[in-house]
Amino acid sequence: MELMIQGNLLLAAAIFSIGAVGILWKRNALAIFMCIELMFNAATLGFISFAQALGRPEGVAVFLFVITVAAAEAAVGLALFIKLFNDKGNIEAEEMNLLQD
Amino acid sequence: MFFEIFYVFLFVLTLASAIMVVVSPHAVYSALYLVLTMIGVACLFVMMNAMLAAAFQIIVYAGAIVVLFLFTIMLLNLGRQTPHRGRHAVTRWLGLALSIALVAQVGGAMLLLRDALPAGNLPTELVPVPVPQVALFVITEYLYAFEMISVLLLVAVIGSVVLARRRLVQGIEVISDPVQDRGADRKEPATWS
Repeated sequence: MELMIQGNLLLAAAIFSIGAVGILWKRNALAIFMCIELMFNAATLGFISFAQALGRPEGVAVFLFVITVAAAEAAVGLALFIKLFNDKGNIEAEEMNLLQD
Repeated sequence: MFFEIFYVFLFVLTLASAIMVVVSPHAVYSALYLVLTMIGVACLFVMMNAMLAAAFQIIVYAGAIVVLFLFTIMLLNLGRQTPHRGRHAVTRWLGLALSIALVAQVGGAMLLLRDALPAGNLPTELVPVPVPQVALFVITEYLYAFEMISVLLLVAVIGSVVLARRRLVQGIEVISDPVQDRGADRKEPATWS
């Protein structure tokens, strides 16, 4: 069991790093968003691992907050991308440099 | 024995699908690999006896968020992602190096800490954290954060509706056209649809 917690933390670090690489690597804003979701997932995996290891409810409570933030972020971000796509015809992150058209 | 084999299988599956999210050239495949990653993490939650977290993970992440992603991909007709150009190569390799360093550091810290931890510090059996205890914690200790989260959700709902709405001019839906829209924004005040 102890080994499983450590394995989970290692996996969380790995997924977090993969997400970070993706954010730096990708150009498409939607792909960057997916990588952010990966990083959120890694963070929640860490929180839940510690919550289960210590048998305390804090980690699960924070997990609920993290998942809510992820959902809100996805909703607003995707609405923003649809708007941007209607205006510019693409959602390349490099070309998003205007606050208004 | 079965437990360990299944754990290794889940570990590899989750890690591989997380890599495929980044590597896959097709947007829809990326989203589907994201679902696979999330389901893998949910399975890990189940193996840790964190049933509440697993249920939320499946319902909210794999159910709601990725469906939203797929909707957007198909609405924007993204399909194959544009191949990246050679700009910002330094940032990329720097990021890759930093990430490998992060994984190495966490792994190394774990290897070092395994000897340093006093035996019996971690429980041998992972028991589920009782849900009433979590609920009580959320509405007492973390009450402020809980209220802030509710405000955040409200703002997100309003914001996404405002952002994604289509303009209605006297009841006729204006089909958004990139060229016409820019002028139309200025001439008449935005109307609520």
